Amino acid sequence: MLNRIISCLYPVSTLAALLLVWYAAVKIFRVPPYLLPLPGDVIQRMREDFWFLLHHSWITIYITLGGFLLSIAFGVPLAIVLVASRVLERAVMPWLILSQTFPKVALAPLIVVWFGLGLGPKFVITFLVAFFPILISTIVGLRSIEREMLELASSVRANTLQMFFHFRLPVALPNIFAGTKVPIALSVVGAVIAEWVGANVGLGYLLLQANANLDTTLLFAVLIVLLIIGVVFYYAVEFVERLVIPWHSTIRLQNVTA
Amino acid sequence: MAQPITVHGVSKAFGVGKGSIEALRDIDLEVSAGEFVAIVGASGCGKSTLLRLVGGLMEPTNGQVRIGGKVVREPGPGIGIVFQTPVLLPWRTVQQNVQLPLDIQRCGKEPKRIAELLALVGLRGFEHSRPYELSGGMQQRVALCRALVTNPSLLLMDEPFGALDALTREQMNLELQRVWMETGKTVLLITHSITESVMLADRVVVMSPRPGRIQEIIEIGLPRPRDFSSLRDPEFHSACERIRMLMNASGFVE
Repeated sequence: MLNRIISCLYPVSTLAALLLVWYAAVKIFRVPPYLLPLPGDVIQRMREDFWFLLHHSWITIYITLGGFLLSIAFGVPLAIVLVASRVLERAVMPWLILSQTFPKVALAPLIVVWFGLGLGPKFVITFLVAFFPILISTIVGLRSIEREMLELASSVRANTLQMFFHFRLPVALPNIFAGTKVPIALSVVGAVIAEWVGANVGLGYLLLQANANLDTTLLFAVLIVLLIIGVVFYYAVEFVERLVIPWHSTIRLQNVTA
Repeated sequence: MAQPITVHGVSKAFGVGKGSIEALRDIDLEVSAGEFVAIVGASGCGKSTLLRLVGGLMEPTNGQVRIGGKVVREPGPGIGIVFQTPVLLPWRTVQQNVQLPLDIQRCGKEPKRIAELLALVGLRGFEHSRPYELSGGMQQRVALCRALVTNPSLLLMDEPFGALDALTREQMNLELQRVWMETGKTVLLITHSITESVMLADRVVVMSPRPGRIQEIIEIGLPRPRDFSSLRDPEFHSACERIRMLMNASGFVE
């Protein structure tokens, strides 16, 4: 327990040092608040506008989570189909890999043209950002089964369904989880960009508003809220991972070192 | 009921055309019901391939494998396989791992039988451990229990003790001999340890590489049960020497 507290002390003191530098810089160089507000002012603003920020956060969280869950709901089954069908895989996989290099957020304006300004297009944009990494890590996971494991499965005469549920899927789970940790952070990015393109509510919209009004304190407050949302989502995924695959080595080793 | 194995004129090639590799050529082998046969040979002599053909995990390019008169085309019932690595499922406990073949074949749970098997290999009390909590030797013993849980009449083992340290390996050899003597199964053991083959087998099949062929089959007439004090026996010694000579003649020894 004491070790844990001490190991927390290091990053916390880094944060304290950064805040101090921030504070000192503003004071010494007399930076005007519209360029860089004081940390204390930002905290103050977050307190004052708590319900206001929460209202906008709620929408952004909703979009993030919706897009993320959609990309799991489509990505995992599609990966299963692609791994099962050699023909489909060969036809589609090169394009999927190529699509990794394409900036999906650049499609946002087009999606607004097609789907309008409601929640729908925002889910689509977030979905597009998170979908491909989830798809590809699931494919990699499903393929990562060792030869002897497959031979074991066939020697105990597992049928196709048993092969999948008793062997392939559990073997793939660590990769699937590893592949959802990046997309959960990307989903937040997707949601913010979706709100930039056309919205009248949400943290992305709030960022634009704060920017237009040169309300830099609010801008910082929103950034901190986004940071908190990202971190909470990340650890939520990790929490689910611990529940589902407690047997996996990355989790066991974390428990030993923590 | 143990069943005999007949391997008749079996060849196996991987790939087609110019790039194809001939792994096995003209293999003929008869294994009687209840016999313990070991197959030794340098790496690349196709001994693991032969085991997979017998287990129905692969089909021969030419020839036939029969178990109890029936041609093998896919893994049949009544066969237990132990692989080079334990391949335990990390999300299952020891007990659940042993139970796996029963779950797949929907045979119902047999906790009593599993407990007996685990006791037989000295793993009483580890039923609820996870595979990663066990040493390599213990994991391989769990794999042996899993292969035995359906009470197969044929046990196929592909260098099962290759990754173990010398002492654990000797213990496992003795345990395997005991299991075999108690249950009367047909056993096919692939190994690259000459001592292990002579220690355990009724007959040792020596294979030579590129392409894999049977070089000679040596009868081991030593009385049972054997133990490692038999190592000093002149017959044990001469059998080992004979096999070593054959393997040297065919190339190299591991």
